[in-house]
Amino acid sequence: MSFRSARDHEGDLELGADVVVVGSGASGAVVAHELQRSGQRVVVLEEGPRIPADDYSKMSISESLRHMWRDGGMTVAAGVGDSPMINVTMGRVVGGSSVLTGGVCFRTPERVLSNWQREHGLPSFGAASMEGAFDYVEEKVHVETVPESMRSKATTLFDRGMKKRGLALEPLRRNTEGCRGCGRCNFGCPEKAKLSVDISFLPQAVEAGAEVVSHCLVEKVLSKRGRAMGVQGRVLNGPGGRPGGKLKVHARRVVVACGAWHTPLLLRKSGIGRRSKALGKRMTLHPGCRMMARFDEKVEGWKGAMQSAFSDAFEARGLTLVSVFIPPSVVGATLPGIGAEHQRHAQMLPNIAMFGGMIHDEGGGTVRRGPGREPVVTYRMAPRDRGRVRDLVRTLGEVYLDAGAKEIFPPVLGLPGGLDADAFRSLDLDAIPLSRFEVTSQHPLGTARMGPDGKHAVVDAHGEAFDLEELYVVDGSIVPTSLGVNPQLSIMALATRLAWEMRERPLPA
Amino acid sequence: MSLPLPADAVRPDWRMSPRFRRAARAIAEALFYEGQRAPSAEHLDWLMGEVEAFLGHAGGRSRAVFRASVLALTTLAPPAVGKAPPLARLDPATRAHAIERFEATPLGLAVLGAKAILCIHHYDAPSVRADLGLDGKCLTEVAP
Repeated sequence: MSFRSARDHEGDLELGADVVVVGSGASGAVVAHELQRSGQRVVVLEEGPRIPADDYSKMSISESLRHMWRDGGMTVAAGVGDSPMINVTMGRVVGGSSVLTGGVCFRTPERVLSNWQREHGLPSFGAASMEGAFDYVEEKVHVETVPESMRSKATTLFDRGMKKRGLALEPLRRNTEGCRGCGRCNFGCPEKAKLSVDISFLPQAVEAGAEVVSHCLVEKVLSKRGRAMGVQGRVLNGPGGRPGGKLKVHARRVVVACGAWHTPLLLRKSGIGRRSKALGKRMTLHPGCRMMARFDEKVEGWKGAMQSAFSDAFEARGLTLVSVFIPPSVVGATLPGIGAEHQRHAQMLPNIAMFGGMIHDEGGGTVRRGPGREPVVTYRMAPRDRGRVRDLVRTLGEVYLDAGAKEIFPPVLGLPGGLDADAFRSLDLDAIPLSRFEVTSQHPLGTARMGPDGKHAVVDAHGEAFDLEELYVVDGSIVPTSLGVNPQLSIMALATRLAWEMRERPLPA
Repeated sequence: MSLPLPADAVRPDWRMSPRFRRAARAIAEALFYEGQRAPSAEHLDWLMGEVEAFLGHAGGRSRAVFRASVLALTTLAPPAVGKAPPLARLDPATRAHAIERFEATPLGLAVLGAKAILCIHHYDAPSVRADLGLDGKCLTEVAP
């Protein structure tokens, strides 16, 4: 079969398959691959376009944002109470957010899995039982350790500060092969060295006979007598990519993999999860901040792996520090000042280092139906997590000062430019409302969580919805708690395990 | 500067109105005003073209954010320095000062929407990158 664009299809589109997978990101691609290769006919539907790696590898930052990111990167969770507005970045392209990650691959920490077993009624999710799925995915997407030689100078400088505190960075693992350290993984790898699912799982699924159809907006899961029968929605073949013809896919099994932002919306529109208290609630985001620091020496932080090292030394305080350097044009957008002051800071760009971190949040996100096609997402940060955001900013700044930074640029809107050590240390972060902090997230999770019963969860331990037979959810929305680490590999391994179980369950007649 | 559209990309049918373009351009001119030197008219034309292409593709939400931000700056920033709106009437230095003052107010978050989109495009311009020494090179010629 093939990759196919519904944009060029005139009128309505009706398809049939054994399994329809809604969403072509990390989880949907894995499930499509496993099921198609087991002999089931799979159709994958994707709302965004298909941009081949040959195309996105040449794109400017703006082109990547406009063609591959949802809302051009402007998606936000609105802060409620004393909470920051959180910019949540997601892909809207064949391959989903996997095309736009830094490639970071962590296995789900054992303490998290133990917690799922003990506290969330999921006794089968031990580390040993997940090992086969992790091994399999890591081999398929070539997970490798980032060598120290690939670290950017921004990361090396941060490591210098950590060492002064008797700590050290540890190398990250990523799904790459042939990385040259171009520092822009999250705008589509310019070297095609990141084995995102558009390069790994999806082409293999297509080779085995799966069909991947872009520009398909799924609005509802169809059901009959308590069983999922397919999906319906709109083909985005209208003017300017707006909804045009009707879309209908008949299938014996429906797999939802739209991500934690959109899955609850689709389920709710389909009348699923109504009795559950969990649908669309308690979304965790791993809210994160980036700290910029100016050094006297040239840093040129874009030279090196965008993400190469991390530290869990502050794990007990709920913080994970992870290296990151975003392309200079995006750094420029976060530089303080307007006019001459802004330009003065822009001259410093080659001397700016950056490091990031995220907090292990309790989960205060809520997904609601919005006025248009997109959900409205709010986030009420727990009091404990508010302290963690400030702790993160302080920690990142202190480490860079220990490394010899001359100026620190805290991620706080409206501050008057770079702060020297004294100014930073005397800055009363507790007095600044969190709404002025620049907080980002790439890890929405947990809005249709799995669990032992339909009151507190939406799907069971096999990913099947409590409310509808043959409807499975396999994406990050089923993750029951914050992971505290980048979730890409966990999501893929979880989807693999669920796909293996699905493979063994006969399709209904 | 933009590449040809990928085959499967959406063909946008959205354009900035002339009035909105003037307002956005005035903000860009102030944002990148340097000492006594404003960015060239050619650069601002190019920048507006890129921003328009971006907003055309990126969808209704990003357009709404940018529009709201431009509208807020156009009408609310001038009073921050005791001037009457619209912002475009002021000279670039006063405009920059007005936006800076407005940014420090509780409504200052509105600056971020326009600033982010304008900066991402401005700093991607080859001439600007060259001026700032942003060579965009990778760390190694060949993978280790």
